[in-house]
Amino acid sequence: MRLIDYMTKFHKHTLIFLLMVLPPVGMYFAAQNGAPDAVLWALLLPVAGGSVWAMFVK
Amino acid sequence: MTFLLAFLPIAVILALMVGYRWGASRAGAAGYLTALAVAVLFFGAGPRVLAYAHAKALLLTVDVLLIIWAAFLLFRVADEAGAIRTIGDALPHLTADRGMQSLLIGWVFASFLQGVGGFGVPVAVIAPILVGLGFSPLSAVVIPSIGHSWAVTFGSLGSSFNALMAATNLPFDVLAPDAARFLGIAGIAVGLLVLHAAEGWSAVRRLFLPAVLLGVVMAVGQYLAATAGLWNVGSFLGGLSGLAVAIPLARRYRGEMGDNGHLDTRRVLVALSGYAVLVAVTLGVQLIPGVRAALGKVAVLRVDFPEIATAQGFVTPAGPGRVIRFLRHAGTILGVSSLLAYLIYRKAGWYQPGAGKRILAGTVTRVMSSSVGIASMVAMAVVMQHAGMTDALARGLAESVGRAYPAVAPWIGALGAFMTGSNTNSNVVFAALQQRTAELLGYTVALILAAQTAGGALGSVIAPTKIVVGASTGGMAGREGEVMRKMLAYTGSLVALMSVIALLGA
Repeated sequence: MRLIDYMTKFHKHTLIFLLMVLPPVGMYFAAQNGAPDAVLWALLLPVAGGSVWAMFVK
Repeated sequence: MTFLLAFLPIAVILALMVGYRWGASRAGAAGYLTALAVAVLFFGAGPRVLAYAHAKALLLTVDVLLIIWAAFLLFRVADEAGAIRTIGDALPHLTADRGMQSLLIGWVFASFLQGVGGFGVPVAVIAPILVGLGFSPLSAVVIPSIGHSWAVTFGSLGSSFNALMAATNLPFDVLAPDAARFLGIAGIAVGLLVLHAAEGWSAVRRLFLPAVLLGVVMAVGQYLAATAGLWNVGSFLGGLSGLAVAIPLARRYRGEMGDNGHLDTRRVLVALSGYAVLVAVTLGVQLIPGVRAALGKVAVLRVDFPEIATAQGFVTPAGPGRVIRFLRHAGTILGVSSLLAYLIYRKAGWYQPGAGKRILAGTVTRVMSSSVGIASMVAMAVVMQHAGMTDALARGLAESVGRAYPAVAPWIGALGAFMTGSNTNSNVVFAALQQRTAELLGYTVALILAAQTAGGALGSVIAPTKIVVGASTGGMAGREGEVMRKMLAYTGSLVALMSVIALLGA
């Protein structure tokens, strides 16, 4: 079984957690270096996406 | 209208958890998404504001989760070795008096367990013990639920108190004295309520003096620990002080002793040694000046943030985010203690084969769902702060409640714990709001925050998720409504007591 399939099946919360905490690191450095707004919004997408997913995982 | 919009994320969490019985990870995610949408659409939070807010939230999340992960690891190390069960089985040997048993096991031991574990452990471990001693299932669930409530803030190895410091950026020496005072008074009242839950007013009259004595000892123990910088073992040391006094006291009120079998003293001492290690490591790091200073200089995560402003002009000044000193962090102390405790129990031959793997796997499985909940709620709280939503809530509260605010503060903490399931989450969501409202109204911030965390601790035990855990282990599965109804009166009276203390201190 591929790693992503394994994680999606057995470790949903771990995957969601990573989606929520890793992008903010990129957000900080992008904002510090004057990245365009589009980049910042793009980095927010996985955080929001992870949250949407979390709403459906019991 | 601004107030209602700012309140919307909190209302969403409340409705989903109480109305639809969603867990904290799902409801927290919904609350975060609501906060994000409201911040962007109605409060002018642009991408730069959100980027820095999320980065700050990450620092807070790491700070809070380091303790939760390590604390649960230590609990798993002790539980897998059977240490907690060993300590619990030793206690009935001391007294057959029903009221004294409720105090010793349902209150003092429950407080000790809350100090070292939390996570629903006190009720899950103690309810079956009380059922085995002949208590009704309802009493067996209610007694330890109420019994450990006062110990929640400085329990779980300090995770709730750490969250309070993280959310308000205030140090322990500002927050601990008032918080420990509020909770100490609550603790004494809890002892009397435990007696009432066990055997009614006759037990309260008969055992009033021992209950008050134990309450004072535990309250003072917790207060001294918390104000000396040992806040992460505050409830642990309070509970331990209580056990030291309760054991000879139980001999005084023995009742009609039956046959409880042989007490293996050596086994009990080995069981306690895992926790003795925690106390030794904590004391070594926190109290030896050279060690504390040296550990604070290495492996430090400090991130600086610029001033940021929303499109509507709400400004967050420049400054560092939460500074994390890894080597002397409570989570590291817990992690090291877990390793040493594991080695002690392994040397004593208390583990079955494969215990190490089970401990690690069990820890990861159990904490990940809570971690998502914490990450969501921290992100929600920080986004709300940086968008000016917390400020709008605080102003609305200050205008509507005014001089009565100190009486309302513990109820806000209790509401937060009820809807999020924990004192930690309540502090994350509401501490900044309470801090800001206190500033606007001119009240001492430490007093209001003490009321917040005391209300959060007392209210956390009637959170639906906690009730379900307790009911299932005490043989009350499916009758959670009965448990909640009985506990509402006790919890309500305790939170009302906190209101009175807050008003008197304001």
